[in-house]
Amino acid sequence: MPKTGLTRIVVNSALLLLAISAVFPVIWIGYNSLKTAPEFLLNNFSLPADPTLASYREILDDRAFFVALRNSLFYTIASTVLIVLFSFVVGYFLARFDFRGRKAIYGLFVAGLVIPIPSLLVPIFLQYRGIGMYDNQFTLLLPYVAFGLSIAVVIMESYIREISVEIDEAAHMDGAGLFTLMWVVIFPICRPAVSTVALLSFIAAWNEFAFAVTLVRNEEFRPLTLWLRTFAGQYSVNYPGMMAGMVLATIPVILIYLFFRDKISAGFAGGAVKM
Amino acid sequence: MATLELNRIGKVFGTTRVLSEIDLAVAHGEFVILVGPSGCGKSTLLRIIAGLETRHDGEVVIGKKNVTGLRAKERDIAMVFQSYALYPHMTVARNLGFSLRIKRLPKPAIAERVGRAAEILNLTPLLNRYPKELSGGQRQRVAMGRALVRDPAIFLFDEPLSNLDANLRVAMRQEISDLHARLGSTIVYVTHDQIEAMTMADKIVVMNAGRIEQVGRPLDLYDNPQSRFVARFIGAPAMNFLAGSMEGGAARIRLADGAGELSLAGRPARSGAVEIGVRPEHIRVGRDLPEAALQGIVRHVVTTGADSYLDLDLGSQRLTALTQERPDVGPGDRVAIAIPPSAPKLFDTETGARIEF
Amino acid sequence: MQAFQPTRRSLWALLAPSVLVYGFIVVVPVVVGIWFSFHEMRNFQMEWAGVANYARMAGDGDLWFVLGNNVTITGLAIFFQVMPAFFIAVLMNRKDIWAEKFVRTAVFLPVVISPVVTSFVWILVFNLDSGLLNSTLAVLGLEAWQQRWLDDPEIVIYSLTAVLVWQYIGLFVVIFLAGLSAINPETLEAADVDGASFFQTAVLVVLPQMSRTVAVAMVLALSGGLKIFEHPLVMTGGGPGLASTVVAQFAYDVSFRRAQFGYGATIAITITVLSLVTVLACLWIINRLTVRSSGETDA
Repeated sequence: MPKTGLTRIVVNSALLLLAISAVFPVIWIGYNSLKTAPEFLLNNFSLPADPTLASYREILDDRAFFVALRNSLFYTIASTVLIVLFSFVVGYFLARFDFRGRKAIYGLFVAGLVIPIPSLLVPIFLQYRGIGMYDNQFTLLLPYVAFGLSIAVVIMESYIREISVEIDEAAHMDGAGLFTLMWVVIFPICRPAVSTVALLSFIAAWNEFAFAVTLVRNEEFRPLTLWLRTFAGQYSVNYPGMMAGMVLATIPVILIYLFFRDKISAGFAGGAVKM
Repeated sequence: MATLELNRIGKVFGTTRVLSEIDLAVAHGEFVILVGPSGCGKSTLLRIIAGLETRHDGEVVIGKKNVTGLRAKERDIAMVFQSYALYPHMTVARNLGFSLRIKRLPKPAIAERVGRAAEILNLTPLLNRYPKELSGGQRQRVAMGRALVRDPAIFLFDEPLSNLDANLRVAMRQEISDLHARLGSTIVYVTHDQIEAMTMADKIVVMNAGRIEQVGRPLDLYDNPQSRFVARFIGAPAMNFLAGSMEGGAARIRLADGAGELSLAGRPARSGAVEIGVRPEHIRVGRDLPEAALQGIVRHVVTTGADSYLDLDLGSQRLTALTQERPDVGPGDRVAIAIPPSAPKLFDTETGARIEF
Repeated sequence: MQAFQPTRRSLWALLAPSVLVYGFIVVVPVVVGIWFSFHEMRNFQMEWAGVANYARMAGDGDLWFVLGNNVTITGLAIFFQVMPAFFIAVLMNRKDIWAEKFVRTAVFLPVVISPVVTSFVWILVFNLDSGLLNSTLAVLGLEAWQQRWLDDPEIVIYSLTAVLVWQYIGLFVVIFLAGLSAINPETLEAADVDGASFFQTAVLVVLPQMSRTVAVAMVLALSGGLKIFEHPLVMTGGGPGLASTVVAQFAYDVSFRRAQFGYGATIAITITVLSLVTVLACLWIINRLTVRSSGETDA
């Protein structure tokens, strides 16, 4: 690649333009949420002349928001914890032990990376309705755990495979039982994989919408994504109000992303090509 | 400390037989080294002693107890692994004390035993470090400390020095020998490096293709190899092998291609083709040696300071001589070669077995 | 077998929770779906329908139309998302990048935001009168370029594709960056010394060494094409008409709006099987073709 000054300027400008176009819509939503509705309609490009938190105050007065927030936190944290625990056990067994059915189990979990999730919505709805699991506090937990497990198992299994099996043998000879061996010796060593799995699971569950819209009707069990849809529908003319709702629903994942950017992008990319 | 006894150990991986009919007795406090080329089965044998390799034939007896059916953790054995297998998330102190913690020893007792082991191995200043903050040699010592703390019946070492550089390896050899002298522990040690075996072992077990070739004290193996394999494996530079033939009852042997004759100290009964093994240091080379029976041509001369190696052509055969004198010959020189009658060892050309005489 | 391996019984006991949850959500629905695909709802009762649902799919013009939408989006995505992402990654792999941290952070940011939120973001960007796009065009004096981005049936599919490209291009950039980091940088310097231009280097030196990553990225885009669901549902509801309906939403609407659960399940199961078969076949072919020549250690 020629390294003349001109190429350098062109390349860098193009990349900056790309970067800005990736974030600008998000930033645009952010600062417009601080405007009043009339100011937004007057000029939607400029920064707010007189920033106001009125839209936020309105949302924070609404019980529905807090119900949804509580639900989102519950689904996200519970599914993240379960995915970490389950995927560690499965990943460990797949990486370390040879048993009949091992290949089948691995194939089963990998298949989840390929299955188009939306195409399972209708069958899962029918199944849930058939056994009466529809519309309760735990309705969404199972799909979030199950679909998070695929990638989590693959990440864990490949990480554990890289750990020398001599560590397990040393611990065994030191007298550790399987429980100690797994949770006191190997699990702490897997911290990088555990945090990747936790971050991916958290983001996936927090953002999830398809299962929520299919399996939950009752307002008491709605996550934030569903709340946002209803809320934004109500405010079809109060755009700053809608934007404030979007900011509140997104801010946790954006913060987490900013803190763990490399880990998250590497986790997504690594998971995507692990098919 | 305890004795170890292996009775008719055999192991098959899939369709490949990796060990057959291994019998071995290790005395109380003995330092035994299993040595052989890679794939000879020595590591598998060690893992069978450890209880890490479960399915095998034969029995393992430690002390007076048959431990064949017991799992590794139940055998009162400690092992130093090739990769050291230190727990990366635990400090040195916690690595050393892990097995005691699992036994639920009281904290002061753990601290005391860890402290003692650390002192023996000069690890005291490192107790609060993590493995990744240690050098290779320090990790190696922690791995040994972890074994030491447990005061096991038998110590097993699986190629523990193979990840160290050459200088450190020499130093650690000394340390392990000292440790053994001091503690009098029973040790079974695996290596592919015959120098490690020669310098440390009370008893060497040479293995080849899943069988024991020879068991003996280091110098016995060196002086009296029972097979061509052992003769070639033990000693560096390696023993020279020459093709020759003899007639039964004669005290001399003819080299192939009419390159000359060697005298022997005895009169072998065998006739026909044999292989003649001669250690490099037993060969004398000079411009003019009165006792010389052979003539050869110098190919290369390599001097490392104290030692000099001479590569020689003897007819169509090659041999290497080792001398502590500075050679006064150079490549291309025609030289006299003397081999004393006590030096040659004879081996069966087909089976490689030693021919006694 | 490992010395520390538990008995078969306790091994399966520990695997059971994960396998059961996973089986219940991923495997059982496929079976349920297959059962429903041979039935249809009549008078609030499921009745045996034989292969009628499958026969109906073949003659369903709407289904073929929405499937066409998936194909259009997927084709455009490979062209405007996977291919540009490759070149962007090669550019970003250079050493003299301004504000590199910002660029890397920004490009991937949309990937982690919920599709519901990004859909609303773009509803506002595409909004007729007060949307960012049309008002910016007005400021620039380009009123002629203004469009009814989400309401014009001729345009909506492209607007939708643009949103998907915007949201997920960063994922492909990072995938390619990971692939790039696995190839020997000296081959790039060698190409430089040999006088290759940027495009020559990218296509003749980088691409062949990354063939496996590129192929897997294509498969990812391909299977992603059948996973599209949230964006059209939130942004347009699939309209106007069927102009922006994709096959997943079609199955969804058939089930929930028309209460034809049997037919909906039939479509769902068909897509699942189709997708599994295509992706697995592609991956099999890729693994066959790229094992030898790939410069990457592991993709």
